[in-house]
Amino acid sequence: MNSLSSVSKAGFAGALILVLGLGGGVVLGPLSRDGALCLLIALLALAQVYWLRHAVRQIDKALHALGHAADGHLSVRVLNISGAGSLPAMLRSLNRLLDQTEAFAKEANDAMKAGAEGRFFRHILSKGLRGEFAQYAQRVNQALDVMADNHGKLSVLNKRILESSVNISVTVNEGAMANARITSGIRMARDEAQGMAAATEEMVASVQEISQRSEEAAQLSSEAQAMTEDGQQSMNSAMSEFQAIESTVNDAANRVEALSRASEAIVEILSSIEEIAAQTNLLALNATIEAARAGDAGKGFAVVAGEVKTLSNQTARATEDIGRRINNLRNEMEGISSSMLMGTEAIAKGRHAMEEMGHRMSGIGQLVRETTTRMEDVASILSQQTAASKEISDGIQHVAAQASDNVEAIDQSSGALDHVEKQVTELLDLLSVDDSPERTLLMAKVDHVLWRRKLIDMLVGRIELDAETAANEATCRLGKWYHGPQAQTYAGNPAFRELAEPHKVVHQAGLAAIRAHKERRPQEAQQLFEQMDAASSQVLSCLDRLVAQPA
Amino acid sequence: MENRTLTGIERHFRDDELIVSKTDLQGRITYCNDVFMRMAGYKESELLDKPHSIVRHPDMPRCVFKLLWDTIESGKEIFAYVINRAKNGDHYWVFAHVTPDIDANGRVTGYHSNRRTVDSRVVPLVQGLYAQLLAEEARHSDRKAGIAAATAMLVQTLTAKGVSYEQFVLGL
Repeated sequence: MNSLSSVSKAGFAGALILVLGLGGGVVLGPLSRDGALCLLIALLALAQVYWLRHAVRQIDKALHALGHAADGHLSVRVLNISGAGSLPAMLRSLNRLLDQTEAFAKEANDAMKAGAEGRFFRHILSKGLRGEFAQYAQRVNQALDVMADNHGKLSVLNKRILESSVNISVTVNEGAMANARITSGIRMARDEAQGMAAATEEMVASVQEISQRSEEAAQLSSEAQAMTEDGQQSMNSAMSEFQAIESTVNDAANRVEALSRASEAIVEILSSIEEIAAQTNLLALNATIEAARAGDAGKGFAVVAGEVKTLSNQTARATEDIGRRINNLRNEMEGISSSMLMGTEAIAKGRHAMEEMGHRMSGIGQLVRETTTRMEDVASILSQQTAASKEISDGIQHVAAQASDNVEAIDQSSGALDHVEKQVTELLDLLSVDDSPERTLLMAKVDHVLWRRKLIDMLVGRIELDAETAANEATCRLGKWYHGPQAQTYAGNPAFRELAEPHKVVHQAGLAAIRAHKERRPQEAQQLFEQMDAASSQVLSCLDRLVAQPA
Repeated sequence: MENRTLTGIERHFRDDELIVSKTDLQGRITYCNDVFMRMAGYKESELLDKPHSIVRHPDMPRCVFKLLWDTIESGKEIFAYVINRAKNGDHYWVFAHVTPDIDANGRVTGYHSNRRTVDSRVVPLVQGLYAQLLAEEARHSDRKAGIAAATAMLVQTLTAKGVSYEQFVLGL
């Protein structure tokens, strides 16, 4: 209570009058008329003091409530108001004011809160609010209607952006998937090209080696040709030597024959001489006999006859000796003749063989010449081949280098797509803050395209995945929605029912592909991925149908 | 609650009036305005510190109050159509808005309710729904099971209409 307040002053004045009245009554005597008046005044003052105290309590209540309300605490009220005077009426009005104020404040608060959550239909209930409170409430409600309208437009815009972002995300991921597949192909091509480059380099080396060898062979065969030609020449000169020998031997043989014929003529002469000598001897014998018979006269004659006999004997012996010698000579000559015959035959055979050999050598020479020509051709072709295979090798190395460049370019492109995808995902996160079914469906599209992409990235070796942490058909965003209460409004749509099976396959085949990949069964992983891929297309088409026709 | 009889007479208050009351966390009345006292037919002293169910009418399904308490205890506002019983057995329909009272520290200190008049067009709709819910509650001997079944029925009805409870009550 403020000691300076007018009520307090009235109370203080009443108390003073009470004391003065009581004092006057006592001093003047209660039975005196003045004393009784004084006591009456004191009694009235007492009543005034009591009434004033009651009024002060009521005012204090009002003060308390007003103090709280002034501090912004609107839930305070004045309780236990009794009576019908102006003070109780004031307190009741105070409560009504607080009721109105608090009702308006709470309504405004809750309507704004609902508006902030997009529930613009929650207006301020102006019923029960009075005067300006009702007017203000209507104005707030008008603002809420405008906000609802704007929000509706914004929602449409937001939805379009979301749809576009989802499409971008899907496209980007499709691009990334195509890239991943191309990368894988180009990597293989690069590896093949590099392998080919190495192989062709080896081939070039081999061809060069062969070329060198064949040049050496051509060299050798041309040497062989020269030697063959020398051999032929030598053979030819040997042949003419042989012919010279043959004619000399034939000449000698003819002369030995002539000699043989001459010695036969001598033998005939010798037999004539032997006959003459034998007749001479007979004549001499006859002369001796005749001389003996002539005796002494014949004695001289006998000596001459003896002499003639000795001469004829000597002639016979000489002739015999000559005959023997000529026989020996003839034997020798026959030996020579036969030797010469054999020599001639041998020479003829030799010459024949020589001729044969000459013939063959000329054949060989021909062959060697041909070989040389061919070897030279081969060497020339091989040298061209060396150049050609060098070109091929260079070309293949160029291809390998380009394939490497391509891999790098594709990697860069993949990196760029990753970047775009990250930004689109951030945008999608921004746009998909509210969990309306439509947004869930659109985001589910993105989720499933991303899932496909992750699997492709895994298959081409860009990333590793873990089957244990990956979402399944019940825990993914779509699965949670599908089995939740929000999906019930879609239950009548055929696309909703059709969605269940492919969605299950998308997850189960995907998880199986991860396991197969991890356990190094690439063909199986690829097969499972294709299963997943087919199911994924069905899921996306169902989602599109659900977005286009919600119920 | 001493008098369970019903007169069948409906009381009315004006459209520019609010029935206001406040309770503590246990639902005991800590404030009621003069319209409240006039409509319920109690004096302030008869109402303060008494449970709010003092004006409960037997036609009210329990599941609606369960929903009401579950909602405000989670710190959210709720709207509900409620039929109340006056001291003498008369009844009156209100459209109640109940919110938690929160102090400067963000603590819930009690609950506050403003009631407005109900459009006479709406009363039969709500009556029909409440009769169904009451019947469902009555089918179960166990009170809790009855409330659960009636709540499920309410949820099902709303789901079929494709609206939230809030949209439903504000849209009537």
